[in-house]
Amino acid sequence: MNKDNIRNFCIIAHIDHGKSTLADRFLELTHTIEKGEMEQILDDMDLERERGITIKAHPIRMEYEYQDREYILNLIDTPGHVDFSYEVSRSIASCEGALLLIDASQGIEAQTMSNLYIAMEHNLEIIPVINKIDLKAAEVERTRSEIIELMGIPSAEIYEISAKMGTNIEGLLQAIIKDISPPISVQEQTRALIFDSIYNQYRGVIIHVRIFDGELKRGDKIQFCSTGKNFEIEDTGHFGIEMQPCEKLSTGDVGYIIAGVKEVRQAKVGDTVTLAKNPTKTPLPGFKNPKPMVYSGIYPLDKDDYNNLRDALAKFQLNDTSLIYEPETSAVLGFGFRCGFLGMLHLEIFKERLEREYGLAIISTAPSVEFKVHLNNGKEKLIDNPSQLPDPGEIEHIEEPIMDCEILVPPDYIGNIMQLAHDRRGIQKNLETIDEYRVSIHYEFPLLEILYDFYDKLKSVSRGYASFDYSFHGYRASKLKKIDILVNKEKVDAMSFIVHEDKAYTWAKSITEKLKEIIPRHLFSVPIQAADGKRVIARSTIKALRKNVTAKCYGGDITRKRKLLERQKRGKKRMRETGEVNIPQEAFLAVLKVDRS
Amino acid sequence: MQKKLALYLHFPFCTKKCNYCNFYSIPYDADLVHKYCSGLRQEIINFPYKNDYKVITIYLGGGSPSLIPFHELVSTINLIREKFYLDKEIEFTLEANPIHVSESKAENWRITGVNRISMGAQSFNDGELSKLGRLHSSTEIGIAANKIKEICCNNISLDLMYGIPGQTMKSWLNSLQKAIKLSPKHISSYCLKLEKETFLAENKAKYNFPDEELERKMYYKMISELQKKDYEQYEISNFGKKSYYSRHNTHIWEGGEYVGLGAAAHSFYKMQRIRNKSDIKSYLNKLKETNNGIDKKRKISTQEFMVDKIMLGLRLNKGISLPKFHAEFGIDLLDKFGEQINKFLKNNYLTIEDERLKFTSKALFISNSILSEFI
Repeated sequence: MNKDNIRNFCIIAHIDHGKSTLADRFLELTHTIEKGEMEQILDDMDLERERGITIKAHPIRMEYEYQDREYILNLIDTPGHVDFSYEVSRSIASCEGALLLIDASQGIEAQTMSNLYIAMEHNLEIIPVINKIDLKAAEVERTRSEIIELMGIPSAEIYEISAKMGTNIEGLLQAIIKDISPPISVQEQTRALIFDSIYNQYRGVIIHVRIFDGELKRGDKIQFCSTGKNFEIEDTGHFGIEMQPCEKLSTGDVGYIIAGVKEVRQAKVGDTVTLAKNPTKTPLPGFKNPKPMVYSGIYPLDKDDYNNLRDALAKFQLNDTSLIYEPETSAVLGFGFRCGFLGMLHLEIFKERLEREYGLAIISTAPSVEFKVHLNNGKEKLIDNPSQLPDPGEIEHIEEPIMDCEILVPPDYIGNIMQLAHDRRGIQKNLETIDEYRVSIHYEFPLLEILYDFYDKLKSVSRGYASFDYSFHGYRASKLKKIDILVNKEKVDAMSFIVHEDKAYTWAKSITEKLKEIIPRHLFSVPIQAADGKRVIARSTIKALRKNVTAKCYGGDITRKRKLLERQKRGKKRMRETGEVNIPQEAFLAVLKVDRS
Repeated sequence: MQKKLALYLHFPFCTKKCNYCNFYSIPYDADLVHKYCSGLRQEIINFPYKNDYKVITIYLGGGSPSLIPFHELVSTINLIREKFYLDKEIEFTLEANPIHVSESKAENWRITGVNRISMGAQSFNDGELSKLGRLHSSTEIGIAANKIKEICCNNISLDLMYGIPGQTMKSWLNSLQKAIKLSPKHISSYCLKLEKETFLAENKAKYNFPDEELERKMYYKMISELQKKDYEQYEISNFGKKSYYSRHNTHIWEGGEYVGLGAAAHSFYKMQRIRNKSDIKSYLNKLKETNNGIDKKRKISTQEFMVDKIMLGLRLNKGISLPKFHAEFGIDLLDKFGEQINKFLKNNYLTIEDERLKFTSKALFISNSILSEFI
């Protein structure tokens, strides 16, 4: 296929703005699949569908005849969550154009905006599309003016569609051909951008690439620019509904290569593939090693499952470049792993998949960020587990990760947002009015402050209207301290947390109260203390259990009584014991439930 | 040698359901009662019994067995006498509601062979009785008890309840005193438990229930008050004058075999736990089809039986005999559960006296916390 007949594009949209439905319409229109054949075919992981989001990018190749010419349209799907914004940026970088898809009843959201900016940075042709015009709540005019304001384009070029009803889809498809430029090659040496790589247990890593220059075919010796490692291509192909092997991939093509790569971390997203015999001197720009932002201790609920957990993590890593882990031990939790994640969603998905796909019940500790600890002796230490924080006497100062955050919100809620930002130690950098309906506020927030319930709070103070996006800014010195939790006078290492000085008391108080609700009553009273060094700053007491008796027990009740006791016993089995106190798994996440106001 | 068997007969009819009761029961209906009693007799006739067991107790429970018409009672008991080998010293208990007790009934029971009456007094405070949905007054309990003593038998047990809405320590002590004054041979006393789908549970917001701490005080106060009057505590909730412990229930708590006949009755027979169909209709249908009322039957392992035996045996104040346990299971209880037992011995929740493992007094009201570690 002549590269002039290829169009590579993606769809930038917020969750639920109709991206999958639009993709379905395209697939039907191009007869890639027949109508109703498969619902939302692009999302093939259960978990993604349940959460209504796409985590992994699935490209798809469509063929379409327009004005007597055959075109190849490659739709590169983009993950839909800020945790995966780097993957999104690589998918965007693989395209020449993007559909900016906006729900007419919702307007533009922060994440859409930041992806739009990425697309503009990469000089993508942007085709603005207003979706769901069939809805009663659709505010087409308002959405239109928002888009014009954001992009500075005349209104005539905005497409109005209803993906659900199939309205104006064909016109949009033709616009992709007309408006988006075909791929161009700028050099002779082969360069292909990896925008995804997926582990397959039979075939090894399937590397998703966009060829920018040159070509790749079976038998070629390739080299990954970031590592300099060489592999030999075993197979190349395109993405139909299924993988379709083909002779070679040429400039402009989107497809896959299989080259005996065993782990996804050897074929990293964003890396450039070139030919070993004539390698490029200039890799494609933008490569970054994935950087975990959130850390959590992961322990098997049943200690006997340690090896199973270790095996599961190893398998996981085959398919997830961003997951890092190393063994860790805790006095109360035993043997487990410290795991690093891109963000909270990544962590949640990981935990769910462990339970669902590997049948492993786990205890996880409260997520932490990575602190830079400067010691008095001039050395610097990275700490991602609060219990590992050195003695305060050794610490010169501590730095914490700061995020650049963009909040889009109707002007009415600016006051609420400012209050929330103040509570979360946010520093306002900029406030920009997009139009009369929306302002964009730029903040710097400590990651620690936006990790847990920030998004929910943001939604609640803006009646659901605010949207939010963030990226890593850098480290900044901050007055932080570690708080230890003592249950029945014994320190529970896995419950220590790091907090800003000014909030230490509030958090400590709230956690001791929460733990009082979570930890069951025992035969003796159990003090719960939060200590700053040796000084107890908050405490609560779980009163002793005074009644737990089956008063009446006769012939008919024996099975019933036994079941009751079995339930109590089972409850205990799911707990960890310290200082003769049984601590349920959710207690280790109590810090998440702290009232941060 | 014949093994000992306890026999339980269930009569699921009531004048009115009490506000705390979640047992299967239905309003009295003469026609249905006849059908039910015929069914019960059919079950008795067809019960697989060879003379390998000696029935040591009969217990007529409910529901309200004090409602059973005399002719039905006599013909049913006669069948039992024909079919089973009955111990000469048999204990034959009938559960009675004070409102059903009349001179003629007491006489009928005596003639039938009933030698122990377990009467649901529950409280001697009329306000509390009405909250429980009982149909009798406190005075009627006394009248009924005297009639029974005069005509039927001297061996009366009274059921009492604490944890009733609005109950105070004072009213509880008063109920205890009044019960003792009637000089029953035996007292069973239960903490009111809110069972699902009962009137009290569904209306619990309207009532003021004593808190756990008060219930606990009521419990321990009761033990000391009853002890003063020579009612020996022999089980978590049961007290008796010397040689008047409930033999039927003691047999069950010791892990003995029992056969329950009638709707919703349970059995433990030849290492099987058996449950009969619980509602009358399906019970009678099942009988029509198979000549038994069985809903579910499950064989239990020696291991499970052993744990049941601990669970039940520790309810008894005398506890579990370590040598006997060893003789029966070939396992040393202190080895098998060494970790748990040592912890509880150390914390003074368990004690060993005369080679018997038993609860200490403070363990009784939190006994499930201890028992669950043996499961």
